[in-house]
Amino acid sequence: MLSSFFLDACGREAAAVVGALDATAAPAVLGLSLPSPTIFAQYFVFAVLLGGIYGLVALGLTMIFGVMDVINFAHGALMVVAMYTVLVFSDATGLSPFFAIPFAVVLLFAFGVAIYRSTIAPIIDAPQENQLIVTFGVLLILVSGVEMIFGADPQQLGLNLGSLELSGVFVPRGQLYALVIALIALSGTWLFLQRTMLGRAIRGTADNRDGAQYVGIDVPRIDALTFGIGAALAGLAGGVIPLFQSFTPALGDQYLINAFVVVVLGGLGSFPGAFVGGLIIGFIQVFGQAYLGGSTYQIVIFLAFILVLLVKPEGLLGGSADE
Amino acid sequence: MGDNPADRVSRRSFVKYSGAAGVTGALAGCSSNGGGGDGGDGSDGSDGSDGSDGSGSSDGSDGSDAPDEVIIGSNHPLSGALSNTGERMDQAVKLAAMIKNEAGGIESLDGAELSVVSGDNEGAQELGGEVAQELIDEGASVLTGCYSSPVTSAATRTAESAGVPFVISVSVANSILQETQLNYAYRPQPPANQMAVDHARLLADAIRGAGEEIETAGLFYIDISFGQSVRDALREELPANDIEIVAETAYEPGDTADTQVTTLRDADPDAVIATTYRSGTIELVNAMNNQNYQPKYVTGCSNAAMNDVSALEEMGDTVEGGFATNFALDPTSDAAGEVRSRFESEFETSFDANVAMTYAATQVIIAAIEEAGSADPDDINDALGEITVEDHIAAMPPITFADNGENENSLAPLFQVQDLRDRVVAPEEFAEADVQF
Amino acid sequence: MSNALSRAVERYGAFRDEWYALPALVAVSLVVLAAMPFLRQLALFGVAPLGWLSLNMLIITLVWATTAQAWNIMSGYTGQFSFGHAAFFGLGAYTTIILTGTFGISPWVGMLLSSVIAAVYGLIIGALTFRYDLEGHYFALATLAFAELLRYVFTNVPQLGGASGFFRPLAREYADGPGLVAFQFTGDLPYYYLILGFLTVVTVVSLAINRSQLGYYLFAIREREQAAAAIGVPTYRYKLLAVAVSAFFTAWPGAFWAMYFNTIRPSTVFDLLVNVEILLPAIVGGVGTVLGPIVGSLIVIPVGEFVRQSFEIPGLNNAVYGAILIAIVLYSPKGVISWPSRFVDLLRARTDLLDDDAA
Repeated sequence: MLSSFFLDACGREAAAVVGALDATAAPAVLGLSLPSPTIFAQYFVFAVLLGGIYGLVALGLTMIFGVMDVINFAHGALMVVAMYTVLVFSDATGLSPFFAIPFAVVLLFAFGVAIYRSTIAPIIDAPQENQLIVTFGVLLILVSGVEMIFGADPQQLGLNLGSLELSGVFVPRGQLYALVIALIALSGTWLFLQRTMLGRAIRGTADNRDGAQYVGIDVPRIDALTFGIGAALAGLAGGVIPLFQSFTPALGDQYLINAFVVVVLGGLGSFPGAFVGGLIIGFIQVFGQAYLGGSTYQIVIFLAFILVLLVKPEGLLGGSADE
Repeated sequence: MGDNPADRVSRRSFVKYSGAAGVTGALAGCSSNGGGGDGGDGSDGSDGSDGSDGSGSSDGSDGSDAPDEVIIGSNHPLSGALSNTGERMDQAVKLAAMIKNEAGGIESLDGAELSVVSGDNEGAQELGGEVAQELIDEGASVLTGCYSSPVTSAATRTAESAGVPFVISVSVANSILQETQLNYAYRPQPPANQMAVDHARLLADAIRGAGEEIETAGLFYIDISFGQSVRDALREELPANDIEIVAETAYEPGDTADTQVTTLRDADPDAVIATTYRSGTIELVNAMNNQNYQPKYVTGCSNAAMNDVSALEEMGDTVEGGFATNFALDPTSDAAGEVRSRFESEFETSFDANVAMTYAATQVIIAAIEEAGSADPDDINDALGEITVEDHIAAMPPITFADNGENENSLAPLFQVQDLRDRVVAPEEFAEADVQF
Repeated sequence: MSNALSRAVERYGAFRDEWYALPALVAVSLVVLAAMPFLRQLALFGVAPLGWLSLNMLIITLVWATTAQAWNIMSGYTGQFSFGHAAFFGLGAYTTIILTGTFGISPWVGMLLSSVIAAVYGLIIGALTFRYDLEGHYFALATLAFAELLRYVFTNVPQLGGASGFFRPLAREYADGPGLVAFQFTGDLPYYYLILGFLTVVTVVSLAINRSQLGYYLFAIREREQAAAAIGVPTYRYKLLAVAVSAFFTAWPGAFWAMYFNTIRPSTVFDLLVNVEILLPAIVGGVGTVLGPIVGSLIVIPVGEFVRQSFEIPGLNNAVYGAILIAIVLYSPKGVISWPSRFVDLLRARTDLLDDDAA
C-alpha cells in the first residue's frame, strides 16, 4: 500500500526501496512500534535541537542564494574553518569557547568578503556553472588547508557540558546552547534585514538587482557584504558545533548536503523558512534513524526534497518562484 | 604494466629533474644494488641514491645465486584520514625488517638484508592496486597492507595478477579472501566473522563463568563496509550463544549518537556492542552520559577505541569494566613486550593493536622468506602456503593458513577495561588479568 | 610582427573556419591518444617527459573524458546543467556487475542493459523536472538529489550490495578467461584501448549531434528556450532525448570502471565528488564543445596526479587542484579549448594595428 503511493509520486526505485526496507528494517521496526511517552518525547527533543542546528547552517546559505543567486558550495568548508578556529582559540587562550565563537564569526566575515572579492565578483555575471566550480575550488582549498594543518583525525573540545533533565527527558546542554544561539542569530539577522538601511538595501537587491542599481544601491558592495554575512553565519554555525560533537575537516560537507535540502524546502532567501525546513529535516532524520534501518532516513529526505522541488520549488515559505 | 625498465627510469628521473623536493618515503627506490652493507637502519625509503639512481632496482634475480637483499613492499595510507594509523603500521613493517637485519638478516640467504619500500595508498581504492603495482615494479618480492578493506581488495588482486604474495597486515572484511579463491593472498588477523565468533563466545563465557547473566544485546555500528560485516556476523553468533539482539543502531561518521542511544535506552539490552572507529565510540559515550544511560555491559567488537589508552581516558568511567574484542599484542610474551618498547623508543609514537598485527604479519613474511631460502615471489608463496609460524607477537596460536588464505588459528581475544587500561582476560593462555565485576 | 607569423596565423584562422576543421582536429586528438602509451615511454636524453603518467592514470583520464563528453550532450549543448551524473555512472557499474556476477551474463550485454536503465532513469528525472519547469539552480540541485538518492539506496539495500558493494567476478567464472569477450584483461594496455574506443564512439556521437539539425535544436533550447518553443521546436521532447542520450553514454564508462577495478561500492561510484569529476573536464576544457571534454580531462587528471606524486604533504594536492580550478574559471571561462581562437584573434588584432601603423 505504501509502495503504490511512492510509485505514483516518485518512480519505481522508491517502491523497490520500500520493499527492501521491510526486509532490512524488520528487526529495528518490530522492536519499537510503540514507544513510551518519555522515549517519544526524547526523540522529539532531539529533532528540535537538530532542526535548530540545520536552520542555523542553512541561514548563511539561503542568504547568499537568495540575494546573489549563487550556490555557495564552500559554505560547509567555511563552517569547518570556524570549527577549527574555535579549537585553536580555546587552546591558545584557555578561555571558554563562548568567547571563541564571536571571534570566529568576525574572522569568517572577513574571509567571506575576501573570497567574494577575489573569486566571485569577477564572474558574478558569468554562467551559473562557473560560480559553482569556483566555490567548489574554494571548498577544496579550505578543506585541504585545514587538513594540512590539523590532520584528518577527529577533534573535540571535550566540554562534557552534561544535560538538563525534565521528568526523564534529557536536553543536552551543548545542543541547547547551540539552539539558543541559532535563535538569537535568526532574530538578529531578521532585525538587521528589516530595520536597518543596509538590510533594506540587501533585501532590495535580492528582489530586483537591476532595480536596485537604478535607485543607486551599490550592488557590488552589497554583494560583498552579503557574502560576508553569509560566511559569518556559516562561521556561527561552525562555531557552535564543537560545543556538542567531534569534528573533522569533512564534517562541513556532510551538513552541507542536507543544508541544501533545508534551503529549498524552506524557501530561497527566507530566514524563517530555513528554520521550518531545518525542523522538518531534523524530524525526518531523528525519527528516521530510530525507526528505519541504517541510513535509510536520508532517502526519505531526498524524496521529500524532490517532492518539494516539483510541487512548490519556491519552498514552503518562499516568495517568488525560480527566476 | 611496468615491466619495462624505461618506466622505472622515467618516473623517478622525471620527478627528480622537475626539482620536486621532498619525494622521500613514498616512491623513492630501494637502495641500489652494489652497496650492500650499509646495515643497521633497515633502509626504508631513503633515497639511497649514490649517483647511480634509476639504473635498475635490484629484484633479487640479477644473476648471482644468493641475492643481497629481499624487498618487502608496504602499502599503507600515509596521508589522508587514515594516515595516523597507516604511518605507524608502515613503521611496524620497517621495525620488523630492522630487527631481523640486526640479528644477521636472512640466514638461508647467507645474511641477505631485508629492505622495505613504502607506498602511500591514501586510503583510496583506486590507488590500492596502483601502489601495489608500483611496489612490485620497485622489486618487492612480497607485499603487505592496506588497513582499509576496499584498498586491500584492490591491492591483493593486483598482486594476484602479478603473482606476488600478499600478506594482509590489517583488513577485516570477510569478502577480501572469501568471495573468490586467491592463491597469493594471506591474512593472519581474524576477519569480521571470526571477530564476531570470538566476541560472542568469549564474552558470554566470561560473564556466565563468573556467575552473572547476559541475555540481550544492542548493536551500535558504523554504517560502512566493516561495520556492516561485523553486524551481519553478530546477527548469527550472538543468538548462537543465547544472546538475543534487541536493537540495531547505525552510526554515520559526523553524527552525534543521541538518537541511537535513545533507541538503545528504549530497548534496554544487557550489553551495548559498539563497532565503530574511535570518534564514533567517543560520541556514543558522550551521548550515553548526556542521557544518564549506563547499560550493564559496554563492549566493543573490532573497535579500536576500546584498546586505545588515550580514548579510554577520555571516555572515563562509562567504559570502566567494559569488554572488547580485537586482535592484540600477546601480553604474556616477553619478546612481544620488547618489541613494543623498541617501537615506542624508535619511532616515539604509540603502539597499538594495528601496529602489533602488522608487525606479526611481517614476522610471517620473514619466516616465509627464511623457509623459502629465496627472494623469488613464487618460492615465498609456496612457503607461505605450508608454513606454521610460532614466533610472532600476536595473541593467537601459531599462524598457519588454510586454502583460502585465512589463518586457521586466528583469534581475537577478549579484553576488559580495568583502571582505564585494556587487559586481556580470555582465553586463559593469553590472559594477563582476571575478569572483574 | 613578422609577416610569416601573421600569415601562419591567418592560415590557421582560415583553416579553423572550414567545415572539416573540427572533425580533423578530433581525428588528430584520437590518434595522439592512441599513441599515448608509446609516447609516454619516449625518452630524450634519459628523460621521459610523460613518463610520470602511469597507464593506470591515463585510463582514468579517459574514463572521465568519456563521462564528460556524455555529460556535455545534456548540459553543454542543451544547457540543462546536471549535477547528478554519478547516478548514471553508478548505474552502469552496478548493473553490469550484478548481472555478470549473479547470472553470468556477458558484461557486454550487461553494459548495454545498464545503459538502457540509466537512460530510463534519466527520462524519469527529465520527465519530472521538465514538466514542472525546473531551471538553473533548482534543476541542478534536483539532479544532485536524484544521484544522492541512489547512493543511499545502494548503501542500505543488502541485495544491492550494501555499503560493501560487489567484487568483480573472476573472468573464468563466466567466460573462458580474460579477453575481449570477458571484458577483462590481465594487463592495463587492452583496457586503455577499450576506453579509448568508448571515448571515440561518444565523441563521434557528440560530433554528429553538433553538426546536425538536432544539434541546432539543442543549442536553440540552451540559448533561448521559450523562443525555440515559440517557433515550433518540440523542446520537451528534445530535452528528454538529450538527457537519455547523455545518460546512456555515461553508463558505458561506469561499466568499464566496474570491470577495471576490483570492487565497486556506493562510496566510490555514487560518491558526491563523482558528480564533480564528471563535469569538471568539460568545464575546464570548454562546455558545449566537442574537444573540450577531452582536452579538459587531459589537464585536470594529470595535474592532480602530478601533484599527488610530487608533494608529500597530505591534502596539498587537493588545495592545488582547487586553485587551478579557480584560475581556469576566472581567467578562461570558455575553457581551455578557446585559447587557440583567442590567440588567433589577439594576433589578428595586433597585426591589424601594425598594418594600420604601417599604412
